[in-house]
Amino acid sequence: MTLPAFDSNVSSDLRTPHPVTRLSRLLSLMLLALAFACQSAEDRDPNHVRLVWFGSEEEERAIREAVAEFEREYPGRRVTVQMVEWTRYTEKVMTMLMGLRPPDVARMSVQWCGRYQMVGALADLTPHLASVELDDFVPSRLASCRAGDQIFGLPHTSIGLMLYCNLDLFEEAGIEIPASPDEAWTWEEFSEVAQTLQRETGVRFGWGMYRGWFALLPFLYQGGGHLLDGDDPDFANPENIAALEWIIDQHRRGIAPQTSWSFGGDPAETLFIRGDCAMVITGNWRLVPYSQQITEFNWGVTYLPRGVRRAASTGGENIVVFDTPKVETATLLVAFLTSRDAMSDFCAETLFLPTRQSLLEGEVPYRMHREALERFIEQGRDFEPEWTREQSTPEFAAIDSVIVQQVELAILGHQTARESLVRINVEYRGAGFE
Amino acid sequence: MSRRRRRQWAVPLLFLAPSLAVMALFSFYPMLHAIGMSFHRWRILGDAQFLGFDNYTMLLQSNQFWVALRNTLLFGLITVPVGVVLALGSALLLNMPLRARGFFRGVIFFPVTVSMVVIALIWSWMFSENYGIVNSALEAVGIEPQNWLAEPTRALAVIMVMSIWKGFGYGMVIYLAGLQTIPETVYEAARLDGASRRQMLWHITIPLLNPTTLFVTVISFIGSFQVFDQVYVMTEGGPGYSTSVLVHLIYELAYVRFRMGVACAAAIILLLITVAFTLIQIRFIRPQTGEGS
Amino acid sequence: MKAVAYILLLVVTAVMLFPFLFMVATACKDEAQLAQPEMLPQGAWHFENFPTAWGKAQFNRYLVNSTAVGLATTLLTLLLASMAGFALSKYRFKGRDVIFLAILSTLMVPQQVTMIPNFLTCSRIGLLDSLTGLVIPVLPLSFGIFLMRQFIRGVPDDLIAAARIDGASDLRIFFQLVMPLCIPALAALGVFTFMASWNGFLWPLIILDTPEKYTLPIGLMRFSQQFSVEQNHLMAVSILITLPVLILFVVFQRAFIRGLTVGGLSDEG
Repeated sequence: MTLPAFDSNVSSDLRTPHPVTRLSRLLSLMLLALAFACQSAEDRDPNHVRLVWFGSEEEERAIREAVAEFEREYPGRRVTVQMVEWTRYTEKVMTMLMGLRPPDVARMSVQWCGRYQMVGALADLTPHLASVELDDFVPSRLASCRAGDQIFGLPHTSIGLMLYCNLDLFEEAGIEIPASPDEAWTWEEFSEVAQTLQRETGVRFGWGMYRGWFALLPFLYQGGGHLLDGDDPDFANPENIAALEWIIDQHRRGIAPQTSWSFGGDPAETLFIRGDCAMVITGNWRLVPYSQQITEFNWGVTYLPRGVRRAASTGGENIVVFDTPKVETATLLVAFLTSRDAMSDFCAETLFLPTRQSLLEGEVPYRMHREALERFIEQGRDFEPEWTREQSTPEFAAIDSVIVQQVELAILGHQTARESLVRINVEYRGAGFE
Repeated sequence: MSRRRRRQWAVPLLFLAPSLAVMALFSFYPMLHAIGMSFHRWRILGDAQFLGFDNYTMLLQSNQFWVALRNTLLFGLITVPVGVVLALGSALLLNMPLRARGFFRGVIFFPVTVSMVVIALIWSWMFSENYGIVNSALEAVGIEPQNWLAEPTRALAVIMVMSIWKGFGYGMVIYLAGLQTIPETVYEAARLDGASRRQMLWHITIPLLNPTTLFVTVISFIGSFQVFDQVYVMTEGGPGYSTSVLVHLIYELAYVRFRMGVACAAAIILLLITVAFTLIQIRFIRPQTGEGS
Repeated sequence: MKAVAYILLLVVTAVMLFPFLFMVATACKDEAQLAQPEMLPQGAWHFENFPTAWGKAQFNRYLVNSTAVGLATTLLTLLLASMAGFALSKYRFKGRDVIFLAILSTLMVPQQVTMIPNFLTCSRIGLLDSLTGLVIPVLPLSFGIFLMRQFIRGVPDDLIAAARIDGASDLRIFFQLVMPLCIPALAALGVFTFMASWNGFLWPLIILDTPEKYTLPIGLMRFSQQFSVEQNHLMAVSILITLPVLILFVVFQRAFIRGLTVGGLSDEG
C-alpha cells in the first residue's frame, strides 16, 4: 500500500495555507484581539459615569441632548449613554449587577425600582440632594424612589392610559365623545356605545384594550377594588371579581376582541389601526406611532369610562443611582435630568408626561398632540398615591406577567375570574425572597 | 508508569489541551456553578444560602414546570425525527449530479442563516387570526379562519412546523459533508455484486452515515430541548403558560422573578434529561466503520 | 427520476422562499403601508428603505466588527476543535469517553444560567468590553469537537498506521493527512461557526458597553425598541446582514462534492 503524498494535489488544489503560515496568522490575530482587551480609564474616573437607557429613537435623541447639556453645565464631568433594547433590559442590567459592574445611573420602570432596592443594589442619595427641591415632585412618584430614609433616585417621566376613538365611526353613528372627565361614560354606557357602533357602522369590535396589567388595573380601581390589604395580597376581593367578570363578559360577547388578550392573537391596538375596532384603551406611547400609521380615518382620545369611581392608570420611569463609587457625579446627573427645564424638554420631545407638579399644572411645550396630552395629564389626576404603593412593591414586579397570564386564561374561558384572582394572590405570596 | 504508557497519554492530551483550557474556564466552570447554585437560595447580591433539594422539590410540585417539561419533550420528539428525515432526504437528493444544485442547497439553507427572532415574527404575521395570509388562503377555499396562535395545540403545531422548516437545512449540510466521506469504491463493489439503488441506499449509504446521523440527532435534540426564541416571539408561552417550554421557564425564573437558584435547578433537570437522551442515542446509533475497522 | 427530483425541488423552493417574499415585501413598505393588512405593499415598493435602514445606525462599523469576530471565532474553532476531535477519535487512552461526554454535556446547559458566571469570569480577568471577551467565551468548541470527532473517526486507521510506519509525526499526520481528508466537515463547521458568531446576540449584548464595538445583531436592536414600529427597517437590515453568510455558504458548499476527498483514498486502491 502506498501513502498519499503529504504535499499532494489535495491540499495545494484548495490552496490551504501551510500549517506554519496558518498558525502565525492565528497568533497575530489573537495578539490583535488582546490589544482590544485593555480596560478603559473610564472605569476609574470618578467624574465619568455610565447611564443605561432604553426607549425609542426620539427618547434616545432627547436623552443624548440632555446629557450634552449636562456636560456643558458641569465641565469635567462625563457621561456615557448606553442604549439597551427594552426586551433585554433586565438581562443586561442584572448581569452587570451580578458581575459586580453595575451601571452608575439607569432608567428604571417604577415597578422595578423596589426589586433592585431590595437586593441592596441602589445607592442612597440623601447626602447629595440638599439643593434639590423634592416637594415639586408628584408625592406618590417620589415615594416610589424612597425606601425608609433612603432615596435611591428621582422620578422622571410618567405614562398614562386613555380611550382612543375612531372618530369617523363615531360620526357615522352620531355619537359624541366625552369632552371632560365629568362626562366620562359609565361602564354600562360605554358598552352601549360600543354596541351601537358595531350595529350602526358594521365595525367588527366596539372596544378593546391593550394586553397588560397596566390596562387592567384602572377597571379594578373603578369598580372600587384594591390590590393589597396592608402588605398582604388581596386581589380576589368582591369588587375586583365583579370588574373582571364584566371585562370577561364584554370579550365573550364579541363587543371586545377575545383573542386580543392572548399574545398569539391580534392586539386590539392593531385592530384599531386597521379600522376593525372602534375604540382602544392604550397609552400615550401610541400617539406618535398612530399618527404615522393611521392615514385612513380621524382619531382622538377621550377619558376612560368610570365605575363607582373614576380611576386612571399611571406609571412611568424613575432615574435611579446604583451603589458605585461614583454616587456624587451620578446624583448630579440625576438631579440635572429631573430638573424642571430638562424634564420639560425631554417630555416635549418624547410626549411623556412630567413628574413635577409645577410642570403638570403649567404647560409643557409638546411638539405635537398638545391637546391630547393635556387630556392625559387631566386623566392622570384620577389616581391615588396608595395605588402607586400597591404597584411598586418588589413582589408586584415579579408577578406582573402572572397577572396578564391569569386574566388571559379567564378571558379565553379557561377559568373563572375568581380563580384567576386567587391564583394571583398565591403567586404574589410566593414572589418574595424568603 | 512506562514511557510508552506516558506517551499514550501525552500526545492526545496535547491535542486536547487548548480546547480543554478554554472550556474549563467558560464551559465547565459555569456548569459546575449552575449545579452548585441549584442547591442554594441565590439573591443576586450577597452570599447564597444552602438549601439542599428545596429548589428541586419546589419545581417538581409546580404545575408550570410539568407543562413546560411536557411541551419541551413533545417539541423534541416531533421536530427532531421529522427534521432528520427531511435533512437526510434533501442531502441525498442534492448529492445527485443535478443542474443548479448549489442554488437548491442555498435555498434550503437560507432559513438557517436568518435570525430566529425575525423568522418567528414573519411566521406570526402569516398566522395572524384576522390578517394572516394563511387564514386568507383558507377563506378563499371556503374554510373558516382559525385562531392559530391563541389556542395551545394549534400554537404548538405552528411553532413546530416553523422550527422544522427553519432548521432542517442545518442537518442537510452535515449530511452532505457526511456523504462525501463514503468512498466511491464501496458503491462500485456493490454494483459489481448486482445491488439495486434501493439496496445500496439501505445497506450502504445509511449504515455508513451512522456517525453523521448520531451527530445530527444528538445535536438536534440538544437544540430542540433548548427551544426558546420562537416561543418567546410567537406566543410568549401562552395562553396562560400552556405553550411554555423549559428554557422559557428558566428565563422567567432568573430574570423576571430573580430566582436564580430555582432557575439553575430547572437547568440541571434539563441537563439530566438531555444526557439521558444522548446516551440512548449513542447506544442505538452505532458506527459501522471507524476505529478498528 | 431526474424530472421527479426537479419537480420536488421546485415545490421545496416555493415553500422555503415564500416567507422571504413576505420579508422583502415588509422591508419595502412605508409606515402607512405597514398598517395595512395586505401582504404586498399597496402602491409603491420602497426599496430606499434598505439604504435608509442601513444608515440608521453605524452598521458599516458593526459590519467590520462582526466580520472580525466571525473570522476569529471560525479560525480558532476549526483549529482547536479538529485537534481535540482528532485526539478523541484516533487515540486510545483511559478516560477518553468520559472526557468526550463531559465536553458534550456542556452543550446541554442553557445559556441563561451560564451567562452570569461567564460574565463574572470575564470581569475578573479583564475581558469585558473587548474583542477577546466577545470571541473566547463563546467559541462553539464542544459542538465543533463532537462534529470533528464523528468525521475523523471515518478516516481509516490503516492510513494513519501506514503514515506512522513511514515516520510521520503526530502533528504531521494531523495537519497533512487528517485535515485534508476532513475538508467537507471543516467546511460545514466553518459555515456553522461563522453563522453562530454572526447571529450571536445575547452574549455581545451582555459583554459590550462601548457602542463602537457593537456587532450587527446589537445594531438591529435599534428597530425593536419598546413600542417601535419600524418593522420595515428591521426586515431590511435583517435581509442585508444575511447576505454575507449566504455568500460564505455558496463558497463553502463547493467542498461537498464527491471525489474531492476520496481522491486521496482511492489512490491507495
